[in-house]
Amino acid sequence: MKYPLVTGFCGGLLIFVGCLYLGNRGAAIITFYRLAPMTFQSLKHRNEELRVDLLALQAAQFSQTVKDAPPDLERAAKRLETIRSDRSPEANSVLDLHVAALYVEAARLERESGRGAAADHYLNAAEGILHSLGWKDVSSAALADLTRRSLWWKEKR
Amino acid sequence: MTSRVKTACLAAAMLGLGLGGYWGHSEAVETNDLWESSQYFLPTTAASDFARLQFRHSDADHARQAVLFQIHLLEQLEEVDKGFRTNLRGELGWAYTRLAMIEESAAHGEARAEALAKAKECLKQSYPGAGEWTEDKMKDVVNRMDQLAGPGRP
Repeated sequence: MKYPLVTGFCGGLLIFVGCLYLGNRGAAIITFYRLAPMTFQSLKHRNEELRVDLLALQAAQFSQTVKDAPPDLERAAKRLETIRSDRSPEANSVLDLHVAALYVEAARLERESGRGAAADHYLNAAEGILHSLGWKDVSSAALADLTRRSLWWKEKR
Repeated sequence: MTSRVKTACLAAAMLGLGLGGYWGHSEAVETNDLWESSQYFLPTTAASDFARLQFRHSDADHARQAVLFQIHLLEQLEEVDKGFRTNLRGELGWAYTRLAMIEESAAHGEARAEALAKAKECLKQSYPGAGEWTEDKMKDVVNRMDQLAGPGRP
């Protein structure tokens, strides 16, 4: 080796920076995995029922960030339907309202694309859910409240 | 490669991994703490939106269930997270006001009065300098908040 001191320094520096990055990423991932944020771990042994409800409500809120396309909206609705089974009836109602909102929006998009049958399918599903939630009026004016709500979120994104 | 260079490289690797590990761990803990402090925001917003929409569109029974669910959730959160208490008191006050409005429309005088009393107590604790909370003022704030909230706005 011609310049052992320089080579050793440069090589060492390179290895140091590489290992610094790897150590940072590795530790961050492991720590995050262990702490599991947004899963209400602190409630796990104190109030599991509350924790389950909080997770359901959080999932419902996250569904509002779904991409504005019928397949994505339907997928999000199906996902909310699958997680609803082991929740409290009230948390299930929150999930149901979000599913209805997703269907209303999917119906609007299908109608705009000229696919009336698909729009009717989504609309019927939404109306059924809203009736079960005690909605007195499921006219297009009332449903527009849900649609506008979604649009309002999208405008803000 | 001389043994000195090997030793230097090994030392650099160990130092890098050690410092990087500590740095990454600290960053993750800090971010987690930040998330923990705001972790109830999404669920309480979902419950509040639900109560508001049900109040606006559904029959009295379903609207009452939705508001009671919101109240139950907020009260449970107050119990499990004392640091969150001051923020939740105001929200609880508006939820009780909404409950009083539902009971009023259902002509349940006693339940209405009880909900109003709880609403006033919560609002007084949450906004100590806001003066006297009259029924009309509380209802007006709830109606204004509903209009401003986006969901279900006219």
